[in-house]
Amino acid sequence: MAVKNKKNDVDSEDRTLFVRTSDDDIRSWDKMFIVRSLVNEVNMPEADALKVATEVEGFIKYSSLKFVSAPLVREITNTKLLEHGYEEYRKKYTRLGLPLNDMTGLFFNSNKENSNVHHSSEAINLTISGIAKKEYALLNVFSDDIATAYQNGTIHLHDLDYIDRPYCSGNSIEFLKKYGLVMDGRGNLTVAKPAKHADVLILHMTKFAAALQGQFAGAIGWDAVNLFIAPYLKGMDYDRIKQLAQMMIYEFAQQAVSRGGQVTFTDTNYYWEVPKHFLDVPAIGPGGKFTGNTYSDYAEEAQMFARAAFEVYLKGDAYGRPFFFPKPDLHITDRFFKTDGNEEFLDLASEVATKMGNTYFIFDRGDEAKISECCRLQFKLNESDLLDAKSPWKMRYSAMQNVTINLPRAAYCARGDETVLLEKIDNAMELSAKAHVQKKDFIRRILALGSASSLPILTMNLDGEPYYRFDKASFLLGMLGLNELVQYVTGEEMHESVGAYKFGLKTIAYMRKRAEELGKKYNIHMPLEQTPAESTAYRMAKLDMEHYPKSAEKVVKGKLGTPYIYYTNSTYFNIGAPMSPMDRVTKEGSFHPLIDAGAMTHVWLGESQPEPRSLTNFVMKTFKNTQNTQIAFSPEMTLCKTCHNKMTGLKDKCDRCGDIKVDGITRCS
Amino acid sequence: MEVKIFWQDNCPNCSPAKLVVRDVMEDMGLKVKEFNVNDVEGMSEAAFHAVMGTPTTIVVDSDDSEIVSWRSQIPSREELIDAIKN
Ligand SMILES: [Zn+2]
Repeated sequence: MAVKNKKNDVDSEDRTLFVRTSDDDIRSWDKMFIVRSLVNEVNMPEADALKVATEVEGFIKYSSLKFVSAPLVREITNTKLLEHGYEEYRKKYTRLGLPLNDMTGLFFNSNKENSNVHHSSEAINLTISGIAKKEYALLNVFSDDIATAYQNGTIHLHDLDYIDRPYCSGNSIEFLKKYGLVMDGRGNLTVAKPAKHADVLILHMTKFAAALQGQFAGAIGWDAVNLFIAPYLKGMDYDRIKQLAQMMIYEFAQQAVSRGGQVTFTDTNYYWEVPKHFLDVPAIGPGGKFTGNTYSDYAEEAQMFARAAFEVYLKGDAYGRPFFFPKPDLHITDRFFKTDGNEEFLDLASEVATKMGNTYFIFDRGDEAKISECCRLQFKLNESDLLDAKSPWKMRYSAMQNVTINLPRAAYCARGDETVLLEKIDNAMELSAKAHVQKKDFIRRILALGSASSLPILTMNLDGEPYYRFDKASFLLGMLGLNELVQYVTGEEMHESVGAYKFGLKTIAYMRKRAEELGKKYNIHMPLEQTPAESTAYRMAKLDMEHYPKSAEKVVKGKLGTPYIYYTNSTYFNIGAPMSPMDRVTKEGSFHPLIDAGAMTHVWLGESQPEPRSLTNFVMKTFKNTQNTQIAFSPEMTLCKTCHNKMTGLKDKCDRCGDIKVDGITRCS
Repeated sequence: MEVKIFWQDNCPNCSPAKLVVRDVMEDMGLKVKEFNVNDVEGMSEAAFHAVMGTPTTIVVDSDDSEIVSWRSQIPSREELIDAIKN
């Protein structure tokens, strides 16, 4: 940097310096602005503030600037604060945002980070806001120990770029049926009365989901979609019902406008039978009025809608491509198999699974009732929740935050010593619990502003309590790389020996027990969950290769020496392990009872496209013989961009027109 | 061969099941391993054997594979002896 000696200017008192302020104004220089902001923003004693401001003034006048911007003044002030050792003041006085060059990059290099975000002006807005919110979270929401644990990769705090929103939510169509659509939560925008027709109800649902996506970081789930729509379908023929199912799926799938140009992340839950907890519940129908019947009277319409929806999934979009959202979760229960038509329907769901991959099979064994929200998140309904079922518009649940523990890191730090290992896991879990409490307090402060808050849908009160049921929120504790932890400690991966497999189970049983204890200590419900984020698997592996290279290189997966290194997800077995699908589903499934908030197994079909019947048998066996709580099948397919030909397996070029412009599709888990 | 019994507190059938199993195994000179499904060891062992209720009694071979089991029920002396002899 060139330093110009402008001594004369420093001395010339009549030189006027202008400041471009943050509120689009230009003012003449006055060091008292700095003094006042230091006193107001960081509670600095005025005398100290004056000293710093005087030095800043000296520095600026010494330079030959005619204009200085408010951000520049702040940068210089921060430097002076640091020179005086005022690190705490500096931290609080900092400015959040991004360098000019990064912003240019956003305009001219497309976003390659998140496959769900398509490059657009809206996506840029999302990125910029995300950067500032994330910085804010690490500086001002979480304490230093937690921010450090995040930054060094001991734990991962998910969705910091949405720090001011809860994580994900389960919602009830019944709320919309009963109270209509209040899009903004305040009633300032056009308000709609309860829908009188099925198509309007579906539109209320898709629009409300988009609005909710602006107030939650993650997925928006809907319980028992086919059942709750059913009272609106009375007397309709199957073609009409299919038209409605098709409309619902397209409305969700094409709603790529909700947030940063993204599709709304939606899960829709289907039941073939009427779930036990809804059998005697009075049904709400057109106009939000009770129909005089219970939900057990709408089994037929509910089944017609479910069948129609899966037929739509089977067909795919205009080019025959699978719909990525909304995800269909099909609940398999004991009563499912006792309900007429279950075989035919399961075959249909299996055909969708083998050809398109959409179907998530969720196994609710015994009397368990569950709803699932994000790709893996499920909420088991406890007794008080089942009471809610009598007034199903109350069935609104949420997870407020998701924190993941880097398990291989714990093993490296323990140098393989089992007792130390548990201490290290404890330590990471305790940090996670504290992080949850801090996030909870932050969200509480936002919600306390009521309808003036930045989450007005969540504070809206139409049924005697806010839409967001704060006290019902869960706080998720995820884990990454159990397989690599086991491998580091025992020398074997979980598929390689019974001992290694059992060591994995013991580790997770320990975590479950500790999660309960910590939940009590911090007064939060903290269930274990399988972390859904693949990017975390890469981030943590990368950080560990930097900080613990000798340990990490022994177990990390992928190609050493390239950026493509990762840890095995959550409690999964090595994706390349030579295991039969049933063996994988059984062994991975044995972890599932320990993981309350949701777990699943992906069965990779690759090029093979098994007969629907054999998938149906597989699903039935999984339900009857294993403890697995959720499975999905992942077929691979390739679509030609030129002639829209669809091929099974991943191909380099079209086998019809020969073009190499093809898209490979495989589930991103 | 080894016998595992899974139990927990507030399980009315667990004590009777434990008594039967211990008694038979003592007579036959076999080892019984008892697992409380609410502690870490018991919880992970229960997950391994897909135990979903208590009391559960499982006879395993030297590879820890199940030979026979009584799930959420009390085995009778005769059944146990019969199973182990065969
Ligand atoms: Zn083609």
